[in-house]
Formats: sequence, structure tokens, C-alpha cells
Amino acid sequence: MRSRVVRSLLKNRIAMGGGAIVICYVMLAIIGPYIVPYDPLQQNYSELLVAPSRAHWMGTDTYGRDVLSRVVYGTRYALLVGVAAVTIQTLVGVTLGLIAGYCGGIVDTIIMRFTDMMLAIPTLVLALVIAGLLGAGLRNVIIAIGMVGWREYTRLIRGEVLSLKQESYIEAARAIGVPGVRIVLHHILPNVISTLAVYVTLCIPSAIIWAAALSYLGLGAQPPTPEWGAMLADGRQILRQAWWVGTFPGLGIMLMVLGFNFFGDGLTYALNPKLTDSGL
Amino acid sequence: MVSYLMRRVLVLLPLLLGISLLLSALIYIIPGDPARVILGPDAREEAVQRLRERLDLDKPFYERYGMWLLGALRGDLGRSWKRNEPVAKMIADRIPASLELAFVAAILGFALHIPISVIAAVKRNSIVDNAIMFGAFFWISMPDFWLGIMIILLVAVKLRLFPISGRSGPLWTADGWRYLVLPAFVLTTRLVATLSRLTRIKMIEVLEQDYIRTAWSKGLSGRKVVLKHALRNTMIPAITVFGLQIPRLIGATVIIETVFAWPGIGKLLVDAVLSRDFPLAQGIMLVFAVVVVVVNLLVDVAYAYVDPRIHYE
Repeated sequence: MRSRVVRSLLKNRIAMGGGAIVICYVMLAIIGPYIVPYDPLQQNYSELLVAPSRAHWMGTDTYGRDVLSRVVYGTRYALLVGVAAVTIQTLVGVTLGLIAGYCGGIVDTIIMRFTDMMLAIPTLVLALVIAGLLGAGLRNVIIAIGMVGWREYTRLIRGEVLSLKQESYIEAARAIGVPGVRIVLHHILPNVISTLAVYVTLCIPSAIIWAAALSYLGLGAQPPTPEWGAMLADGRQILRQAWWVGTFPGLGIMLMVLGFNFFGDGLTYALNPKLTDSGL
Repeated sequence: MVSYLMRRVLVLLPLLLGISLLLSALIYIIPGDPARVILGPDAREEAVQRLRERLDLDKPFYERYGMWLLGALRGDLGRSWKRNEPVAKMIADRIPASLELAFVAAILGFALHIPISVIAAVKRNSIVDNAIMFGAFFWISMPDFWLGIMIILLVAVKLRLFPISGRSGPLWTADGWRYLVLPAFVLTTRLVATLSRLTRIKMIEVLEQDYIRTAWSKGLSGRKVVLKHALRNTMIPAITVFGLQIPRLIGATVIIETVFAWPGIGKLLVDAVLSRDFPLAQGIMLVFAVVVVVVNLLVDVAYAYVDPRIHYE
């Protein structure tokens, strides 16, 4: 199955393009800080709000800081937040989904009613309030997004577990007395990994956008951290005078999200051969 | 149908109870002293203690929540910590602006995505289909707030076609619609892009059904096959997808209201969170939860209207 998935992915040029974009961003996050032309935190009062030029390819901001260097540095924060938040979502959501789906009964009811209750509140709204409660800062944004994004995972994994539970090999394992925890971890969990992989790939861009949104609103990274959402907030204030300050960080977010979306979409169709239409 | 609707409304009550309890608990367990945060770090301890007593922060959780709940049952959602105004009144003053923006975006988004999805599905895998889907992907990948900023830059700053921010009055007033155009454009186009991708897939599934093949073989025109037979059967999943997007639309409205300084409850929520005015934030969250549940209910009612086979007991 793995070779079929890989072959299907390799044949999908759009998905491969998306994957290449993601890899470029990862490489930029790793080596970018060592190759940027300027210190992203260094202020230069003789070069305030300089338009894009040969010396500053993306111009400078209100404090004379090089926008290109800050955008490159911001790649690290974006990827860090995306991966960390999704990790929390996955751990919480998968655990609750496995428990709800396998145990059933009152346990399932309690978990799913709580999940449904949480789902009645829009994600960004709940993340906004939790981030506000915890206080501004990138760490709290990661926690806030992690604490709200698990709901969909729980529903997804619970659904998978409910159908897997009916499989004969699961019944056989139960019949010979295999403990429930072992059945869940060794027999059920490996069979939901492919569904999970696709969902995680598609959730990372959402987490990146939410984190940037919270930073834009003032709850995420604090000055002078070169985080894209915070940079956009600065750019909004001086749109008339300096269009570049808000434009390039947004382009950075857009391209990263586009890469993840393309790759995630390709992965969806590679893992689900019945969905023969890629949409692109 | 009526008894079904009544049952769904009754389900709303424990849901709101649970949400309010959760939010109150979150506010209770947060680290830090809200009274100290409101008055500032240099405030005298006596002033901080007086404010704690006024805001009932010195009472245990069950007592605070109980008092709030009794008030909520009478329509009193408490008072804003920052402005000392009734939360319910503050929300009531601002909610028309949010409803106007969200309603326009939702209606236009749903209406416009249908023809786009139909064209993409009918011309599946053609240049037109690929262009539409690529465009949808591209549009979805843009953060709402950045798209709003770019629209402001291009349309309001450079071309000076519409105002940059604010709201002058309701939609039907002379200037009201001009202020609505840009924020509604951002929300609508995002919704169209999201819905188009999903409805297109559903439409393709319907077009591959046997009865559609029969309709083609009977010699029916393309318009009749697609619009009369296929589209009708795509409406149920389209409505489902639309219902699932409502929470996202609400979240996007919060951001867009902030970008465009639109005076709705979304902006009010952001202001409340930033000033740690949590009774106000709690009240607004409850309103959002009610909206989501009511919209889900309307979606269920719409099913019955679109598909006459559906009966709710």
C-alpha cells in the first residue's frame, strides 16, 4: 500500500509542488537566519520606512528593520506554532477519540457531548478567548490553538474506531483476552494513522493562520519578535505610507499555507483511491 | 416538524448551560488578579480590594456562577468590568452590524458558489475546472486579515473606490452599502472558494449516478439534466457544507470586523479580550453559540424543504 501511495503522490504534480514549497520553507527556517542580510531586530533610524530597493529587497519598517530578514526569521515561528499546536491537538483529540470510540456507553456519551458543546463555539473565537485568558505570547497561542483544535480529531478518530471495532481481528483479540489498551494501541491506532496523517497535514495550515490571526489581534508574539501576524498588524497601521510592511509577511503565510494545502490534498487522494478526482 | 423544532430548542438550553459553565470556570481558574489588571500594577491595595468586591471576585466560584446564572435567566448577562454597562445592552447595540455583515456574506456566498460549482463539475478536468479550483485553493490559502488589508490597499487606498473602514449606517441607507462592500467582499469570496471546492465534488458524485446517465440517454438537454435533476440532489450536501462553514464564517467575521473597524460584536469581543473584560467576552461567546445552533437548526429545516422525502417527527 505504501508504494501505491508514494507512486500516486509522485504522479500528482500539484501535490509534489506543494511538498516542494513546504520543504523550501523548512530549509528556510533552518538556514535562513544564517544567511539573512540584516539582524531582524536591529533598528536603523536613518532608514525608516524605506521602499523595496537593492539594499532592502522588501523594504524596511517603522523602526528601520529589514523586512526580508524579519520575514525569513518569521518562518521559524510559523512552522513552530503550526507543528506544536497540531501536536497538542492530535495528542488530545486522538486520545479522546480512541477512548470514546472503543469504550462506548456512558464514556462515549460524556466525551462526545462535551465535544459537541465545544464545537458550538467557533474555533477562532474560542482560541481568542483562551489566549486572552492565558495572556499574550507565542507559547500561550500554541496552547490556545491546541486546546480548541482537538474537537474535530476526536470526532474523526471516534468514527474510525467505531467501524474498526467491528472487524473480525479485533473481536478475535478480545476473545483471546488481549487487554483493551493493547488492542487500541497495537491494532486500532495503526489503522487510523493514514486518516490522521492527511488530517494533520491539512490542519497545520489552519493552525498557522489562526496563530497569525491571534498575533495580528495582539495576543500572540510580542514586539520585537519577527512573527508574521504581528508584522501584518504593524503594516495595517501604515498602509498608506508603506504598503510593503504588511504585504510581504502575508505573502509568506499564503505561500506556506498553499504548499501544505496542495500536498495535503494530494495525500488525501493518494490514500483514498476511490476519490479519483483530484480537483486540480 | 413543530415538535422536532421544539425538541431541538430544548437541547439548546443544556448546551448553553454547559458553555456558560465552561467559560465561567475558565475565567475563574486563570492566573492573575483581574481587579489588579484593570486598575494597573500601581493601584493601591484598598482600591483593588474594593473593585474585587464590586465585581464579586472575592466570592467562591459556585456563588459567582449561581448569581450569573440567575441573572442570565432574567436576560441580565452581567456588567462589563471595564465600562460598567450591562453586557446585554452592549451586545444588543452592536449585533445588528454583525448580523448585517454575516447575513450578506452568507447569502451571497451560498448563492454565488452554486453556479461556480456547477460549471466546474460539468466541465470536470478541463481548463475551466482547473482554473476555478486553482483559484479557489489560492483564495482559501490567503489569511482573511491579510486579504482584507490587500483589498483596503488596492481598492480604498490606491483606487479610492470605497471607504477604508467603519460603518455609516444600515445597509439600506445612502452610504451604508458603500462601507459594507469591502468587508462583505472578503467574507463572501472566502466562503465561495471554500464551498465551491466541496460542492463541486458532491455535484460530480451526483452526475455519475445511474439516473443522470438515464436522463442523458433519454435525450434531455444538458440544462435540464444539470439544473433540474443533478442540482436538486446536490442541494442537500451543499446545505450541509454551508452549515458546517457557519462557525468559520463567524470566526472570520471577528477578524474582518477588526481589520475594517466594523462596529459589530466581533470587534467588541476582541476589545473585551484585550482589556480582559471577561463578562463581556462570555456574553458574546454565548451569543455566538446560539447563532451556531440556530443556524444548524435552520439547515435541518432547509433539508425538509429541499428534499420532500425528509420528515421530522
